[in-house]
Amino acid sequence: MRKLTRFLFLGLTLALVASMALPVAAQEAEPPAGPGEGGIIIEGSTSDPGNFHPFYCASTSCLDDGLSFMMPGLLGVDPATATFVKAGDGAMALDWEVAEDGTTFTFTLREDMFWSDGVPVTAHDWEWSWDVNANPEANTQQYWITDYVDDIVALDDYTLQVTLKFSGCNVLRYTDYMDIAPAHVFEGVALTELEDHPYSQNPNVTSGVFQFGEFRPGEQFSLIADQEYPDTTYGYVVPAGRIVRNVPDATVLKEQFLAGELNAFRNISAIDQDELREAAEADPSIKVYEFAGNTWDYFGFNLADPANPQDGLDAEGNPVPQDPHPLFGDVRVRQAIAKAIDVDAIIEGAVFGNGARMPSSIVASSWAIHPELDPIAYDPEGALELLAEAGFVPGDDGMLVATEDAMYVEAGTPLTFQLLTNEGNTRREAIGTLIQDQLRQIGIQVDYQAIDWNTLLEINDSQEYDAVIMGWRAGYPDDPIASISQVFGPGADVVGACSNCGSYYNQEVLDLLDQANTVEGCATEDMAPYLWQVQEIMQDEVPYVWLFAQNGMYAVRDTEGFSPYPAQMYWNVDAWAVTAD
Amino acid sequence: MAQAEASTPVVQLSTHDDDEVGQSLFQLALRRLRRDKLTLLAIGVLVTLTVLSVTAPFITGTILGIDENLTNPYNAFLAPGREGHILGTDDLGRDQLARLLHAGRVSLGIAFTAAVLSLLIGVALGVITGFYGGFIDDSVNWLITTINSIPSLFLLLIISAVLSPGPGSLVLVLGLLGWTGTTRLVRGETLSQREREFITSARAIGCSDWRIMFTHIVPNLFSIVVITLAIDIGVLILVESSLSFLGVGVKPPTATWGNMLTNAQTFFKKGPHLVIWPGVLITVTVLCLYVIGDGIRDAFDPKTVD
Amino acid sequence: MTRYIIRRLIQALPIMFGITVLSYLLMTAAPGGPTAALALDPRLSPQQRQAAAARLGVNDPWPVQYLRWLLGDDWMWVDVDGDGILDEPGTRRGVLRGDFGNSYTYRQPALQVVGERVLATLELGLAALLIGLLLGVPIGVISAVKRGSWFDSFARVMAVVFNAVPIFWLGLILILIFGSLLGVLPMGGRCPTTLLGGCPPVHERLNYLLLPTIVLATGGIAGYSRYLRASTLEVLGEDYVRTAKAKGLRDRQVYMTHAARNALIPLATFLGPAITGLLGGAAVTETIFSWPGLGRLAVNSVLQQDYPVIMAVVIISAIATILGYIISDILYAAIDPRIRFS
Repeated sequence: MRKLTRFLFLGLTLALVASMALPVAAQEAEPPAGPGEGGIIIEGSTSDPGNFHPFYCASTSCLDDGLSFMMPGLLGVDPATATFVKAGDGAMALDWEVAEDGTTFTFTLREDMFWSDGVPVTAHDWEWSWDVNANPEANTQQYWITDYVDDIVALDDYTLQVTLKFSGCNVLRYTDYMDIAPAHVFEGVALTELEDHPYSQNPNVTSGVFQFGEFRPGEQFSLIADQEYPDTTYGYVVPAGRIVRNVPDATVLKEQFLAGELNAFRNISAIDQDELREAAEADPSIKVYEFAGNTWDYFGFNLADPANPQDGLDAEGNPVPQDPHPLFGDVRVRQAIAKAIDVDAIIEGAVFGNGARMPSSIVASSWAIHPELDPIAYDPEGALELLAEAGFVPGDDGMLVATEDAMYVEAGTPLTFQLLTNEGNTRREAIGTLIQDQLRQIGIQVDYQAIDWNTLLEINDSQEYDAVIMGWRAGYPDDPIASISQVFGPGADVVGACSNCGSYYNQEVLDLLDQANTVEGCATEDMAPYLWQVQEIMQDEVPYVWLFAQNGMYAVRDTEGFSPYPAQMYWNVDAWAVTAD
Repeated sequence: MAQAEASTPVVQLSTHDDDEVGQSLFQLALRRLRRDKLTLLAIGVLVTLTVLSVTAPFITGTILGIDENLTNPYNAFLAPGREGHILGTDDLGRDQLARLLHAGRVSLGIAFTAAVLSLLIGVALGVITGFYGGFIDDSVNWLITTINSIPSLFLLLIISAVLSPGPGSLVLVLGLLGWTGTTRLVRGETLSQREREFITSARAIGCSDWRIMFTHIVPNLFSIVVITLAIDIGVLILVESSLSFLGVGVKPPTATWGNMLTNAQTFFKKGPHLVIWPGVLITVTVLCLYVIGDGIRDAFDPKTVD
Repeated sequence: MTRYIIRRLIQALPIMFGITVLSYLLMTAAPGGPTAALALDPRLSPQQRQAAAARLGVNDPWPVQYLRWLLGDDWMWVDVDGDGILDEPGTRRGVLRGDFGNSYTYRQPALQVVGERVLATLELGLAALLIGLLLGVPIGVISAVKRGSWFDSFARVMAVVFNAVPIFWLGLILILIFGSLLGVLPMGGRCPTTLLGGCPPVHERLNYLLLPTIVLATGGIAGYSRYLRASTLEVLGEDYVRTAKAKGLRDRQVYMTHAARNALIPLATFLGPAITGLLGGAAVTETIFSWPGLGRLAVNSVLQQDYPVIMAVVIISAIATILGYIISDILYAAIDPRIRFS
């Protein structure tokens, strides 16, 4: 087990719930089978969902594999373009208006969506869900949305008003950050008893392409086609249902798919992709779909002194000056290390070539990607020159040592630092080993350790580290403005709980993000140039060495109707048919 | 076992007596061992593996001239024998033979040290509790029951998370958790020794408790100690690999047979040799230790009939 | 005997106390903490993360947390919104009153989360114990009787060889051979994959039980055969067996009526701990075979630092172990008339 690929999520929840089943255009082909006659889609997951209450679901398993098929979202997403659309199929919002201040959104909801017990889905479900989640006594997983949302009110059954705490081009998604539950099921249930309600283990009232079947903890759970679901390709749901088996060992999971025990495979790690590709070539019943992935690994510097970690802002919100890191406080050292790391070799070694370099924190599929910015080239000579400039020259044994010119360390200090990553992740361990070896080649001694995940998080939060290898996953649809400001803003630099643990911020970057977010009309082509500037600045200042984004891959076998988009495997699951048992 | 500077004739007598029994038993055991081809084979294999592992830096560095940490992703998964890599290369293009030898050093080192540590604790507490009984016995017994009542996997997981990870802390954890069985065994043995004549006579001439324990009782535990050591080392090698599988073993980049095997599972189709070798080495080593443990038990058991 | 059992149970109380304190201390000392995973979502501000930890009460010193776990918090005021101010009385009753708390990850009563796994673990464990005894005991006895023979050497190696293979490797190899290559057995899981209908009774899904049982039984086969071989050899050296032989009884009769029976006596005594010890689960086997057992749950809870579930697992295992010891002592006295309860 513990082969968990762990990621840090950026603006993730929204898309997963809202963009479930959205057939873009009616398919012309004949239905592959009648209602519910399309067989059972069987998938594996290394983690156990545990709980299916939308307010208490804490794992990606219950969300991605379960609730995203069973709960209505507010906003629709077009899977072909990864943008929000009005009256999107499967979503509740037919239309919306924004008030002058940019924070109050009024949604007109559709009237043809029903809970599986026949009760209509209305604006009151949102209002009630908000009342619960915004109350700390209910102790839900979603209390944090109060940072984004000020209030949610049902003006009438099908008119919903959401007031946000911010305005800007990227705030629309905040209106759908909260997952809802059917209000009528919980009438009369005290807030403190919500958690223990049987609904968590048996969500028998749902509204989506599937209804809940049954849950055997640690083993599997099943979803059953909901033929009342309105937004289907053929007027009915083709597959009979979907089962997710809990297979904790990733190798066994892959083998189960290859042997035909599973017929759908979603989270295919980059390490396994060669094997799946070969299997698809050899066996016509297996289909794979590949796309530029949105999960990426980075080598993150701590720019501040690990001996004296400080918050980015004081209690009044004024910036706190940070002591520089003895080595990485000098931008030339960071640039040199970026040049000395051979990312192409790392992609080859860690994921067997199934990845793509990144020039910055923006993934290739994003609207904001800089069209001309190349990744920093591998240049060990250039790295040594930069280091010599920064005051580090080879000593007697060939390892680099500081001279009088070094900015923050005494002469004679060797250029050595600790590099941490999480244990149990083959890919990250390989990255660490390769970086250690590559830096050794130019005379930098790296004390590389793969450590327990929780320990890594604690050290990361404490800001008492030199460098870490970790990863992020870009949101869907991508929100580069929020992700950069969340990860590189002073407010997120809090000792003990940070997402900007390396203490990098640049007011110019924050201003550019602000400008992008307040562009008149919010057209992405008008916003993008500001983000290109941001990417140029950040590549020069190297808070991270951006390594690579892994390729994405989905696979099915003996399945018709499989036509995914990037990060959208199941958007048309209602039209799938499994042809073999 | 021999007590050279025994001061009084009586003690000398009793030591002599003890010695004679020990000697003859020891000789008998050796004779029996020499006939036990299986055990001899196991000893031979184990010694070879141990020597190879212990001298790993010399073998890989001086003889083969290989840097076990040198990576080359473009040269990964080479089959055994290709381009000078006797056992091929791993997923990062490192030489597998060199890695296996270095890993063997760590794996065997951890298992051996932890087994010795738990044996020392186990024998010491076992002798003391068996000899004195009473309050000490009760307290240690309480401690044993407590430790045994907490699922050991839980303890291992937690403690290895609390202590910073590494071979050293793993030795400490395994050693500190593994002594309870030995203590019970030794305690029982001590209880039966305590009532024997030579102890009573040693007591009669005023030998100190410590002296009795160390010169009379401990030497008689020889066979228990060797058997426990052999089996424990075997078990600990397996525990190390299981912990790696569960994600709480020795962390990379330090290689052990366990984490090499765990890591290689992910791509056993690209490089079958990466799974087979660490797996075979673990199995053979553990098997040898088990066989040796049984063989020595047989050889030393005075009650067994030939 | 009732008095003896009652006395032993009373003696177990301080042990239980020690176990819970020790476990709680260790558990809370582990780095990260139950809210560490919130770091994965940068939408949660640092303040929200700290408040979430405060709501769970995991920021308090461990003795405070321990007492709250033990005694509940309905008699004191707690900070429900994580702002550092005590708002109202708590709602938990504490372990002493049967409330094990809610799992942080499952958001369900911890005892219920654990209880769901007990049956699966017992099913697998009992099957493995049975196979271990059925194979281990005869191998041990025969190889003692035929000491030094080829059977002895062969049995000595075969009994331990599978136990010498790392269990996850053995499991994966078996899955690949029987599940993937030959396609005759399922590649893990406990029950057939069905949309509805739950898990059929065990005799209808023995094919799911087979491989994990074999893997888990390797330890038992090796252990019991080695133990039986040793104790049979010992018994064979005893006077009464020599006497029986001298009296001219046939070998077979001697071995079966005298030797084997006496050699089995000590075995019976550790059956108690062995049966209750099954509750400890077998994390590695359960993981590789996707078996929904207690061992896997325990490992996951430790990794996710789900305190209530960890403590529930610890308590259940501890009770089982202590009961196992008591059963074992009673069995020992029942079998061996020389021992009396005092």
